[in-house]
Amino acid sequence: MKILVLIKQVPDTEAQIKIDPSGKAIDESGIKFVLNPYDEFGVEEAVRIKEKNPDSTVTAVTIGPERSKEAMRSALAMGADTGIKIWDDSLAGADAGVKAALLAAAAGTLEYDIIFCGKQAIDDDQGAVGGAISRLLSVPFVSNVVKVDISGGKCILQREVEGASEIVECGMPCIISAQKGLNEPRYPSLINIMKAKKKEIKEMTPAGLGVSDLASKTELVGMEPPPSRPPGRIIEGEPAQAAVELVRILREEIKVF
Amino acid sequence: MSGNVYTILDTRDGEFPQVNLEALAVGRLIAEKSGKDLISLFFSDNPSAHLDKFAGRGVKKVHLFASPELGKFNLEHLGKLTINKIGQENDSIVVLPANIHGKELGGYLAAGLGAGYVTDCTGISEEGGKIVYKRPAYSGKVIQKLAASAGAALVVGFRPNSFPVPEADATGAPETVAETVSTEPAKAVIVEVKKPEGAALDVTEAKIIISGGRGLQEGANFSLLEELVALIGQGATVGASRMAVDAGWRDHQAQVGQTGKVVSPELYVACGISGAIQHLVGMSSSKCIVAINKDPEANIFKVADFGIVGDIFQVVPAICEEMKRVKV
Ligand SMILES: Cc1cc2nc3c(=O)[nH]c(=O)nc-3n(C[C@H](O)[C@H](O)[C@H](O)COP(=O)(O)OP(=O)(O)OC[C@H]3O[C@@H](n4cnc5c(N)ncnc54)[C@H](O)[C@@H]3O)c2cc1C
Ligand SMILES: Nc1ncnc2c1ncn2[C@@H]1O[C@H](COP(=O)(O)O)[C@@H](O)[C@H]1O
Repeated sequence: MKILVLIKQVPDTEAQIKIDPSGKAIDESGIKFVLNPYDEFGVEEAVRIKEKNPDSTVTAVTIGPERSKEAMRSALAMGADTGIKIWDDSLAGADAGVKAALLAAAAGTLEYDIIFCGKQAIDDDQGAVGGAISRLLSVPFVSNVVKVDISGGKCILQREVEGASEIVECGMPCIISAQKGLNEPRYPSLINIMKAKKKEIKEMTPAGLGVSDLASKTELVGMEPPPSRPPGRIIEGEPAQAAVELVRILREEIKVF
Repeated sequence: MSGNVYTILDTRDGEFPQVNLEALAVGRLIAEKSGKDLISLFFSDNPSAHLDKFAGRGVKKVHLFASPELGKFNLEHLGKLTINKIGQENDSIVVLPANIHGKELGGYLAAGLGAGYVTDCTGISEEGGKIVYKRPAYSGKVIQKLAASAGAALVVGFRPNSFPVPEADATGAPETVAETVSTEPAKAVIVEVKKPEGAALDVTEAKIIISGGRGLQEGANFSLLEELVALIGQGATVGASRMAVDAGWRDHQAQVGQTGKVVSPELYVACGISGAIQHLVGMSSSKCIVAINKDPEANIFKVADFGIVGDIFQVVPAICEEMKRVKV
């Protein structure tokens, strides 16, 4: 089995996000970057498939600047065999469509049975890439997956939707986006972290992939801080009194029921 | 101005979901701002059963795609039929319903239409002659303002409960066009839909969420929250923090937050939840937030509109008592 995992380096979930004076980017100083949590699920699932099917290979692919090598090392330490890192400075600020075109072009140079991606990257929070490469590669896509079973050359996938789980039968190759619940990502052992340092990260450029149209179809007009919430009110008193007051507020002031 | 505004709608289990009406409202808003026509592509095994839903919503025309296989969501079918219908129209805007299926479709359509893609839109305005779409990014720590690049088509997804759905008005019923549907067999198909026994309302669809965290101490104690939900009745459901989910007290379907679901209900009540940043990003856009926590310093109070500093095992039963009293 040949597996590709699309990974992105993103700010840690705890990171304080400040808007850069340009108003069009975030200020990266002091931010700790990590492997996107949803991509960890993808890497873990790929590595588990490989552990069951020993002649498999797992290749992690990322588009990102120099710093994103660190996220790549995390994926390699979890058990991915090799990495591909795509970048050139013209990609700063490129939208999901451009990234998807590059990832599809990179996938096109490789053999694959499954491509894992994350439900969304927790920086832009879009969930756009999986569907886009599905179209570009003419390969089926199933999103929000919490269970993968492979048998008889097919994937049986469980997709979580509002209020239900859908079991989707899908031929290979296919693209699967990972949702929490798929697995518990491992913590790489020290020895695997050391081994990861020796694994190859192949660096590529858009030109090297033959992609020349790098124009985003969306324009970032600006960024602003989220609206702040007005200070809240503490309802004083014994539990019974406070409960009565709360129910009154919700009924009479907020009118939710 | 060559393009139109399209909404891409389908049915689920034969129903016309509320998110469709929201998509129509968003589509209408964009159509009004851009001076374009609002057109719907509607996919279903039985679309004619729902034609009344389109009346009074500013829709000019509905293209009906009827076929048994369209009764269940299928990305390849919906994607290809939509792309064939719309083609590469310049500056069209395609609005998708705010659910998992809509989101799965979005990236596919954007790539197929050569369009940009804005997901999770929470507000639409006009700036400098452009329609600007606001959306939260970085888990809601930043609001991005995006526009379609000059001449580009755009696919727009939005956050549920972010746009008001007005009552149908007097604009009447749209023209309908029956389309012939020809599809190739899809490579990925739904073979089974599992609904948990007595399935609770999903947190993303609920108007009121009573959420519990580690403060509940054990899974069985969620019955306290369930009792309150039952007293509130329709539109209410139980949510959970990741701690509660990881402890096995609640199904991960109910998890609110960064790795769970992002919700914006009318009312969110956090019981025994500390308010870690990864939780806040999932619920801080709720219209009204109530926090019940015994620790007055708990972070959750920073986002709460109303707070009760106290023990959930006393406060929640007291709320239930009061609810029973006012209901009779
Ligand atoms: C990558 C990543 C993703 C994450 N994603 C999510 C996510 O999606 N959703 C999420 O929720 N978390 C997420 N987390 C976890 C998050 O950081 C917190 O650990 C979690 O939200 C804490 O859950 P909690 O508030 O229930 O528990 P705690 O933080 O332990 O808080 C329990 C609270 O209950 C109060 N309490 C205890 N007993 C009582 C009582 N009797 N009466 C009243 N109050 C009481 C305490 O004062 C305390 O404030 C994520 C973390 C990471 C690193
Ligand atoms: N720059 C990138 N490099 C590699 N993979 C990416 C990149 N951006 C997004 N992806 C993949 O696509 C998924 C969804 O990302 P997004 O559509 O940006 O929310 C991520 O979880 C990754 O698996």
